[in-house]
Formats: sequence, C-alpha cells, structure tokens
Amino acid sequence: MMAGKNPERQPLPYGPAEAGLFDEEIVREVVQFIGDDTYRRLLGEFTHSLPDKLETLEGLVRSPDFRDEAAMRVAHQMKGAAQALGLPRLAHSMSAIASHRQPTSSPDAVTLALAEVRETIGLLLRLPSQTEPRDVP
Amino acid sequence: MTESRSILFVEDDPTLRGVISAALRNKGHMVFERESAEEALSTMERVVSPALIILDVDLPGTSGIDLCKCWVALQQKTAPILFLTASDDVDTLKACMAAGGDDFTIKSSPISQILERVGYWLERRGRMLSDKRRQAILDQVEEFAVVRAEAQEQDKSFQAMVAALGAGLRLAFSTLPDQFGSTVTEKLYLLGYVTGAASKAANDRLDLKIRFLDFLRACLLETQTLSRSDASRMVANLGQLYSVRSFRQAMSAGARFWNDTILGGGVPESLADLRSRISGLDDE
Repeated sequence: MMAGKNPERQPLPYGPAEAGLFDEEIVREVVQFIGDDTYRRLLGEFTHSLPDKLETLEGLVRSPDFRDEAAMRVAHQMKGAAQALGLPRLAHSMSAIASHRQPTSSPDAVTLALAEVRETIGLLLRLPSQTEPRDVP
Repeated sequence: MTESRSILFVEDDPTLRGVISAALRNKGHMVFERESAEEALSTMERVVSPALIILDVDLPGTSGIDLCKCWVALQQKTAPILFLTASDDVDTLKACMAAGGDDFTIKSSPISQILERVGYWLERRGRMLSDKRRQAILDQVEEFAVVRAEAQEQDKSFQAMVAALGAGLRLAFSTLPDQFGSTVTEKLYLLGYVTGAASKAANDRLDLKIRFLDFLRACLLETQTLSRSDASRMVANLGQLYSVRSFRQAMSAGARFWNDTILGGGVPESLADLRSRISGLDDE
C-alpha cells in the first residue's frame, strides 16, 4: 500500500528556488511511501529543530572535546535525518563535520561546513512550502 | 503482499524514526517506536511480542549491539533483529552479526530497500538465523572487506582519471556555450568523447561507470550550462547506454565523430576555428 496514488504527480514540498537543497528523486520516493502530509510534517519538525542542534554542534566544535563521541553523534544524527528527508547539501556538510574527527583534520574545513549548515538552515526556515503546498511543473 | 505484523523499532533520531515508522504503518504494520535500549527492554518484557525488531546500532547509553547481546544472554531474543546502521564499516557489520543479529541495513539506503529487508524478515514469520548461517554471513562480511579494499585501491587511479577528465569537462562546458551557443548536439558529442575515454580508462567496470555518471551529473549541474532537467535527461540516456551491450559502440562512435569531424583537420587553432567546425551540427 502506497501513501501516494500517483507519485509522479505529487507536488513537491518546495519551489524552484529551493530545488538545490533537495534531492528530487529521494523526496519523491519518500513521499510515495509516507505521504505528502507526513513528509511535510517531518520536514517542518526537523527544520525547526535545526537551530538548536546547530548551536549544540557549534558549542561542541569550540570545546576541547570536539573530537569526542558526543560531537560526532550530533553530526551523524543530523546527517542521517537529512539523508532520510532528501537534503543532500545538509547531509554533505554534516558528513564533512563528522569526518573531521581525525587528528589531521583541518579546523577551517569544519568552520566552512558549519557556515554552509547555517546557510542551509536559513533557506529551509524560509520554505513557504511547509505550510502552503506548492506544485512544481 | 507481506502480512501485517507488529514491529518493535528502536531508533533515537525522531526524523529517521518518523520516516521509517510512517512507511511501515502505511504498509499496514503495527509499529512500536522506542528511543532507547532501556525503553526497548521494558517494552519487550511487558508489552509486545514483535515479529521483527529493527534496532539502531548507535543508541545513546546502551548501544543496539549491547542490547542484542543482552536479549541473547537472557534468552529473550524471540524475534529476528534487523540492525540499522549509519556506517558500513566491516567491524560494525561483524559486530552486529556476532552479537546475534539476523541482518543489517544501512540508514542511507533508499527507503524502498529498507522496506524490502523488513518484508523479507516478516515473511519468515519470526524464523531467525541458524548459528551456521550466521557464521556463513560473518565469513562473507570478511570476504567483502577484502574485495572492497582491493576495489578501493583500484578506485584511486579511477579518481585520478575522473579528476583530470572533470577539469577538462568543466572547462569545456564553461567556455563552449559562450563561444558557440549552447547547442545540445555540441554537448552530446563532447560527452560522447569524454565518456568514451572514461569508459576505456574504467576498463568496463560497471560500478566505476555508475560513479562516473554521478560525477558527470554533478559536473553538469555545477557548470550551470544546462538546465537541471536537461542534465538529468542526458545522464539518464547515458545510463541506459551503459546498461546495454551497444554502449561501447555508441561511445566509440561519439569519440570517433569528435575525432574525425571536429578534430579531423588537426587541433583547432582558435575557438573561432573550433566554432566553425561545429556550426553545422545542429542542421543534421
């Protein structure tokens, strides 16, 4: 049983301006299995939880314990959730942060990835589609 | 269709748990969601006797692997356990199976694949792996580790090749449209040339070709000389070519055309020279 009867014609939860944030193929598949409303709800909950998570992550990055398991757990969890919702840019940034636990890692790369995450969150929070479904040709 | 059965799903991330649980419920299954090993232990003792347990490896506090060991030790493992793991490193997969798990799947897999694994285990109606089969899978994981290490070695040369091709491709796609007008025909022949060379260098390995296609798509999108749909369509067409036996001929033809028709008169002296050689292509 599929939640969406015709996944090809399901409206996407974002407009052309936000298309770069999403992997259309993944979004369509997830919507096919869980339905458009549930997808939008989970995307909304995830998006609104991101500023707090980012703050936690930034705190951990600034601390001497950055390379410990707790920091990596936050990054991994955000990456997994982003992948599940078809947000590859965010997943990639989180992956960059999570993979920099090695002693040879560059702090600049982590700073850059955090800046990318901040930018992505800003774009996600401005998504009108979380409340107003929009159709994309 | 898989018969509806109850599933205990232990995962601490609410988003991932929400996506998978919703998909399972939409397929008619009853899902008990728990966030930690402690909650799962309590649930198994008091509430449910699930047909399948989906267990996150990396739970806060007691890990999924330790929870599985605990159920085995207490002889309370009454259902197959499908581990859900963020990592596909061999040590993690071995630990899942050695702890008494019955299967594992990677969190980043498409949701259809995760549901397939769930369906497989539900159809077994609670039948778990025998010790002999579990050992066989452990051996396979070892073997997989060796094969992957070899592939990664080969991959280094492939990555170097892709980097070189990518640099050329980016340059071509960022300059050609400005100079010649952005005709799809020009791009297709250029792609034929480049992918023909890539195919030869990749020694016809399908996995490397697929990765090259992914790279190509990213490259096309990055140069922003094609619309997203054009890029996807072209890559999809190339992907279809990869899957049929005529791929090599098609790519060879593209490369031959490029060499004979465009470069046949020798290396172009200027962009204007190259433009004049390509200008007639759209009329064909």
